Order: sequence, then C-alpha cells, then structure tokens
Amino acid sequence: MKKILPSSITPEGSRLSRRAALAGMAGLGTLGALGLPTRPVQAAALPLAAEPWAKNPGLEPSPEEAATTYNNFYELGTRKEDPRANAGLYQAKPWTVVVEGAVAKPGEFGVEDLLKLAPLQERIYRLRCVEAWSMVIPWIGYPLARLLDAVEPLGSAKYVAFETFHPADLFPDDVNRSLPWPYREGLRLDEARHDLTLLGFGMYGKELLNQNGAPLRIVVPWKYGYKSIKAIVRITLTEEEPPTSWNMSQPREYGFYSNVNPEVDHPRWSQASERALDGSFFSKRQPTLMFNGYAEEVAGMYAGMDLRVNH
Amino acid sequence: MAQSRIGTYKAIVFIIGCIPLCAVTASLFFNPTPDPYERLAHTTGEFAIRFLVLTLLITPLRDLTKLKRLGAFRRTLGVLTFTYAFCHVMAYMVFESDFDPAFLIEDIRNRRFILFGALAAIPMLLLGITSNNFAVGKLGRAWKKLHMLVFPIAILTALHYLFLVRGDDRTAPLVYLGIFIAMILYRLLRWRRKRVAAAAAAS
Repeated sequence: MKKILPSSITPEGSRLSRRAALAGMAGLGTLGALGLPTRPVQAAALPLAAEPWAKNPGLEPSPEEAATTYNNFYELGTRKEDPRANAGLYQAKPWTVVVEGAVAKPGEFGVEDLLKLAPLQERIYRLRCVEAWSMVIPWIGYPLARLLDAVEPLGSAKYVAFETFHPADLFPDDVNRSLPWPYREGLRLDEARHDLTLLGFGMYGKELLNQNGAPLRIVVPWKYGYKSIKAIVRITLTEEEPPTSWNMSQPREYGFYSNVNPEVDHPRWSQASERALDGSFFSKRQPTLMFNGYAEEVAGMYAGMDLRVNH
Repeated sequence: MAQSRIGTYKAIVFIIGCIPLCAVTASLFFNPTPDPYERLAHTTGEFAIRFLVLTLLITPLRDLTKLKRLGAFRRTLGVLTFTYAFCHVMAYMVFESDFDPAFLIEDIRNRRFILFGALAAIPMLLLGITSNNFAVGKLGRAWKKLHMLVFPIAILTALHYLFLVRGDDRTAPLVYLGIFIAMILYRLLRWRRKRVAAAAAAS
C-alpha cells in the first residue's frame, strides 16, 4: 500500500482557504481563461534571519518582485504568472520531509527542526534558466551537506533523489499533463554534498513563498534552474542514477547533469547568451558563463567527462 | 443589412478584437513582469492563432447558416490575425533578436520552431499588406489565389506552436493542427462539389 505522507494530506483549514482562493480567482477567471495576465493578491512572507555568506559576490540581486512573480513551477501551472496566481492552492505549513534510502539514520523531519539543524546563511547566487534568462537571487539556507551528514549516507549511496508533491492533489479534475508527476530531480552524491548546493528556506530576507518552492527547496547555482527542485517532500539516497522528470519527458533535450554550458545548445534555446531579467523593460543580453560562473568551484567534479554527452 | 451597417459591424468586430492587445499592453504597466517579451510574445501568439481559426471558420459557417453577409467579416478577422501575428513577430525582433541578422540566421538554422514561425510570418506579411480595398481592386482575381496562402500558413503556424511546447502536453497545438486540416479538407470537398455542380449545369 502506498504510504500517505502527512505533507500530502490537506488540512481542513487549507481546504477552506483553497475555496477562498478559488472564489477570488473566479473574478480573474475571465481574463485568465483568455490567457491574459491577472494580478492576484500576493501572500506576505515572514522574515527569516540569516548571516551573510562570507563569499557573497558583488552582484546586484534582481528585484524581489521579479523573483516572486515570474516563476517556472509546473505543478502550479505552466505559464510564468501561474505559480503566483495558484500559490494559495497548497499549504506549506505544517510540512515534513522524508529522508530515506541508503542512509544509516532515515527519518521524517519537520521543517521547524530542519531550520535548527545548521546556521542559516544568506547567499547571493546567479540563477540561470534553461530558457535562456537569468536572475540574481539572495537565497537563505545552509549547505544540503549538513542534512546529509545528519542522516549518515551508507558507503553504497552514490546519488540523491528528490521528489515534490503530486499536483493532482491541487487540481483533482484537471491536472496538467506537462511532465511525469510527481516532479523528480537528482544529483550525484558529490554534487549534493558540494558546499554551493543549498537547502533553501528563504530569499530576500524572508521565508520562501509557495511560488518559489516553500517551505524548502534545493538551490544548485551551476545547473539550469529546473534542477533546483521546489517544495521537497522526499529525499532518497540511491545507488543508481535516479530518473528525473524533464529527462524522462525529453531525454535528448534535458540531460541528468544539466550543467550550465554555453557551448551546448538546447534545441529551443541557444545557451551561449542569456537575457538578464534585472527589472529593466528591455532586458540586456549577456554571455552565459561556463557552469554559470562557478567553474572554479565545480569543474573538478566533471574532470574527464564529455560534457556534450553528459549534458 | 445595408452596406453601411456592415461597415459599422466590421468596425465593432475589429475594435473588440483589439481589446486583448490593449489589455496585454496595459498589463505591462499595471501588472509589470520582469520579462515583457515573454508575456507579449505568448499572448499575441495565442490570440493570432485564435483569430486565424475564426477567420477560417467564416466560410463553413456561412455555408451552414446560409448567411451570405457573414463573408464580409472574414477579412476583418484576417486583419486581426495579421495584427496579432505582426505584434508577435515584432516582440521577437525587438526583445529577442534585436534585429541582428546574425542572430536571426543562427536562430532560424538551429531552432525548428523559429524556422516554422518565419515560414509562416513571411507569406503572412504578404497577405497583411494586400488586405485593403486598393490591393483587392488592383489584384482582381489574383487576390483570391494569393490569399489561398492562408492554408499553408495555418499549418506552419500550428507546427511552430507544436515545436515550441516544452513538456509532454501538446494538446493545444495538436487541436489547432486538427482544426486547420479539417478546414482544408472542407474547402477541398466544397471546391470539388462546386466543380461537379458546374459541370452538370454545363452539360
């Protein structure tokens, strides 16, 4: 029998708030149904304190409104405005994450306990989407390695698999069929343990909003954005390379590694350059950097690999 | 219906058809997005293909209802299709390609959806600039033949949409492709029936 996670059960309160959200959306429905953008009410995020990271680069973060209104989170809809519009459909509190597989200490962790596991840092990272746009985000979190240390991976563990909630819970009658659900992502264990790989809880000095993957997500700054899975419900350490949703959908277009690489084009986007979404009306095109500018830190992990084959 | 009344109705249809364009333009100010290109290109593309369907539906609808005057609205809807397609291409030119020929060539060569978009856009421009009374009068019988290009344009447009979809859900472009194929088949059957009828009348 399939085990039902506490995080997948909708509490009574949120069902009511969902109804309210749906009622609110009805007014915007006509515009939305025509595919015209609507402006729903933005939820307020609670402040989240963090120490600035010692290695923060001198990068100007993108406007906060850009990062909270322009999102790819296909569980909440496939258009950029959809995740914000549908953010109210799931409840990020309470939330638990199951960590299992090849670990000595598997368990189920509440987000409030995970927040206490290691000191929170504010890290300013470049974010590069496979769709050839980029932003700069001040994330709040700590290295995923802290959580992995706590569950003690076995010697046989080679990969880490992540899983998000199933969107059919939010859209019981009409779930979009864009990807194999639930959304799955994965990293090699050394990538997952790399100091740059964050377990993120917030951004811009606040807790994450749902459209950004509340209550917790991964941030892997040298890979295309879709690798940085949102709203995690399960982390599994595995011996085999885990299946990942975009790769399952279009294996030739989206590889397991998905490292930012200006030399390997996607069939729909040149990856040589990107539009920096910095809040200006005409975004400026800038060259894309190898490993999104993190080559010095991460290139060693891929020494000897053909990055065209292992794209 | 008097001729002038039809003119008024056509103007009303055109003005209503322009509302989404005004709404998406206004949304850039009252509901800003960090990526105006994405919103403009997506919305204008969506409405261009919708107006294309409506344009092609006029003839079968006229046959069905026997309302001859309905035909007068075909060109109005065609002009709306062109208006949205033009804005769609301009959004790409201004925000994405920056009118850079090298970028355009590279994009057309490497990206199938851009290639099909370009293949649809070029004849579409031809139809757009000949959609006025002056051109209709000047071209005479050739006008009708030229505007048959709308059918290959429709197929190319649906393929452009099909190739740009990310993920597994290709329902929308396939539905459009199906509608366009059905429209072409209907026209072919209609044309054959007319020829048979004409031949029977002649003998």
